Amino acid sequence: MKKQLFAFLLLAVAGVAWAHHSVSNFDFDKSVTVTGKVTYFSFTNPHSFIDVKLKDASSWKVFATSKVVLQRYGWTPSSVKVDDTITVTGHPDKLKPNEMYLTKIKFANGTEWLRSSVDN
Amino acid sequence: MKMRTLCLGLLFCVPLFAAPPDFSGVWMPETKRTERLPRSLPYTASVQAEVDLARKTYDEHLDDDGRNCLPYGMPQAMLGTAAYPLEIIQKADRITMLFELHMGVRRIYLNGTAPIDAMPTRMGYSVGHWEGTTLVVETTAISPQSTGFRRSARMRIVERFEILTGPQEPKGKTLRVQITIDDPTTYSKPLTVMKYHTFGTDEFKMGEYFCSEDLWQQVYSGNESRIPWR
Repeated sequence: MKKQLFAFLLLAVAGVAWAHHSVSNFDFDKSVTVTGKVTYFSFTNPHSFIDVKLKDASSWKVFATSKVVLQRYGWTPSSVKVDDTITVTGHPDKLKPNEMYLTKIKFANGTEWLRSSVDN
Repeated sequence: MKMRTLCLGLLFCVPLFAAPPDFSGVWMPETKRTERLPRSLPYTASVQAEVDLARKTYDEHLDDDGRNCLPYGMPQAMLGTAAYPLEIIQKADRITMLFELHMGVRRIYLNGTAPIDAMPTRMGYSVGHWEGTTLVVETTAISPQSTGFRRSARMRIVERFEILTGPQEPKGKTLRVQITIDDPTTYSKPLTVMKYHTFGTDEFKMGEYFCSEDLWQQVYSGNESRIPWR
């Protein structure tokens, strides 16, 4: 299956919350979605990270918010495991290919999580 | 908290002011009404030249304080709108603020003035007094910084903390803070924003945020290539 990559404009990006560090390297006007297998998951502060390998053997590095925030909004250390098949949506890095800032994830068990539900 | 009273005779006293409100509890930044500083800050001419120069060599992976786990001080600790709560512990003589983000601690002394030789720190030295039901806090002795949120030794921050109540407030109770940042060396005019926090004691527990713990674990386990933001 070909790599699935959709780019579309978000209609309402009123402004990025003043996060604990700059996420200005990500293009908040764009969004990409990919499906693949997890090869690495780091459930950490100040950020969490997921590496996803797609069927075409390309990889994406997914940059997510901090462990403490994800935990508050329902994640556990086993929400994502190596070899899980997940679908992730995020804002792509302005310069680096195949890196994104997570806005939505469909876990292996089919449940979804939206960053916007964090009111942030 | 002492209530100021006017006593007539021996037995008949009336309060002159309403009792100060209790700010204690867990508060979550409210993004909806909170105002942000402008993206382009009104730097003074000399600082603007420094900013322009720094931008040319800026590396967001190396020069970003947050990514390098450098904790926030003032005013960023108060300006943040991300979903990290703040816990306030209020006593008669001081207010202690515990920030989940970077596990920051801030103390506001309610009796006295800042020592003239206060050692500059990232949080600065905060002194508060009550004006009716409003807590007015002045913060000075903030350590200067020439990266990120720039500030000079002259920075002075005045905050006005108030409790808003009523059915229009998201959880019935809101902590509103007007934050005014004055630093004539760095900024050509004072910066003012209104920050809102929703009462969240029943909903949120303060979490643990050891920023560099995981970073060092990667180093110790010989996994430096995984240090995420490199």
